[in-house]
Amino acid sequence: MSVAAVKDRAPVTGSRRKPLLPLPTNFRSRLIYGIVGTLLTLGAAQLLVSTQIIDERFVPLPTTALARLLELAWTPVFWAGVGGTMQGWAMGLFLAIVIALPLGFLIGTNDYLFAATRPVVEFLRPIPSVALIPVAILMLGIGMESKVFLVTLACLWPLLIQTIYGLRAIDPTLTATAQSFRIPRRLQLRSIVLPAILPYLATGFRIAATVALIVAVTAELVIGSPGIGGDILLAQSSGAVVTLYALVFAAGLIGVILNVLLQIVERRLLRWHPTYREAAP
Amino acid sequence: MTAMDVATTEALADKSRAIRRRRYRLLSVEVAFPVLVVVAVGVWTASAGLYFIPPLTGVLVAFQENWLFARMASDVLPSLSRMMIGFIGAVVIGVVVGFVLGQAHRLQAMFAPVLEFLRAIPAVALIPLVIIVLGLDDTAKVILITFICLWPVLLNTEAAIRGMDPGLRETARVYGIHWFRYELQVALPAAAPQIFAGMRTSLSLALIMVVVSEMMAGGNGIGVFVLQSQRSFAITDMWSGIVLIGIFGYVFNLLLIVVENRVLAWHHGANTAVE
Repeated sequence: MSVAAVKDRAPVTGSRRKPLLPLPTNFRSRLIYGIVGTLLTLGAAQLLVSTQIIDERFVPLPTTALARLLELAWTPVFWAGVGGTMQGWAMGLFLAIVIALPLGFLIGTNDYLFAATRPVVEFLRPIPSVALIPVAILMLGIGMESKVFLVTLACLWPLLIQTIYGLRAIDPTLTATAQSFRIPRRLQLRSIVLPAILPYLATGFRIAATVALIVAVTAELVIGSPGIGGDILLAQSSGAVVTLYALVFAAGLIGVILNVLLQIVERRLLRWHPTYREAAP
Repeated sequence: MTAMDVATTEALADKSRAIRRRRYRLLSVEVAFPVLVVVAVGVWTASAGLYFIPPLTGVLVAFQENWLFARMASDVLPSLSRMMIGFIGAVVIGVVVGFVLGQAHRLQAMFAPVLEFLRAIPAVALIPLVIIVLGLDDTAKVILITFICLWPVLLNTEAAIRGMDPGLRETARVYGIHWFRYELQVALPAAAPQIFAGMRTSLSLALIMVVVSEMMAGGNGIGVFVLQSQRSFAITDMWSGIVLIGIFGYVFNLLLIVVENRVLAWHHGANTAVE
């Protein structure tokens, strides 16, 4: 369920006096509240820095950092960095999907394979992929290959596990019914298997896509490979504090945009699913 | 007993025997395959002669030499204590703020965009910022871990409180239950399953962050050891550190599941049909 979804219901108020502000119940009032809150936060930061309570050498004025970000947005170097990160993100994610889906399908549809691989997967999955950064550096160098390798590895587990458990969670009555009616396999695949595993796959993809961005930036930061993480490392080591904040801000924006896009895609893809039907505004 | 009955009982017994046999087969596969994998990795690494992938036996020897218990006090304990302090701090702050935002709808609506933004920053990108502001010491690393582990706990708590059955709150009101008791004895148990879900995500993040922050900021710890080993081409040492991190990842995950099953036994018991 989306975090932002608020159930409209009558508030339980003890006193009968009129509330000072209306409750944020619809999209428009939430938007207004959100804008006010964001401005308040930025304003507070601006005030703390400009009154020297926070040292400007460490934390620049929000307006200065935002202005630097706008400046950066006109430079090709900035976009090359963003491109490098997103390229690692996309390639790693794609590779993980290509590996995880067929593998998950094999394991999820075969009880013996499932039993055999379960302990192995359960053991390998919690291992943080960042632990393998040194190995990646040694074997694949400090370029795109290392980044893609680490992203693929990190994205593999959520995708694989969601595929396996999605397949295993298919209602056995459905498959048994399809079998007794001798429904052809291809039709079974399209009308039973696919709708059943799609919500699982969507969850797996959402987790993998977020993890991929984090791992891509992490790899760049530790290894120093080109990308927004590499730019951040460069800004840090050259003491360019304002640029550093602007870049971190940009990284956060990329994260937000990614989250919003993923939500839209998921809602589109799973319009028919009960959770999404109810949540629709 | 008619012949028909005898036939059905026999058929049923046959069937249950077949099921049992199948279960044994599945179990033996489940035990045998991982053993086979380990043996295969051992044989392959011993015979392949790759420089960067040393024999498994060598890694295990290095593991024993490094971690049992020569570097326990100098590297392992500092890493673990940083991780645990950061994690516990995040859980406390996350639950408290989540409780407040879950019930103060106006406040939540105001700061939702800010929280969404902070959460969306790839955590590691903050390391350089924290290094500039707070330096390279333990405090900086702990604050970093807390900041990163905060979001899953906070957002899960908030969503759980917001999604609570309004009947619970109204009932507590009708019975004149003090607000503090309500939060502690009604709201907290109701939100506990989701809080635990957030904690599980946070704990794996904590391990990742402690390793990465050590790799970037230096000092002591497992992350530093692994990166230093790589830079000095002490390949077996490097792998022994990676194995240790892997074991920690596995053990912490397991530990939290055990705690969760303990604490939420009532919940799982009440919802066996749902799970």
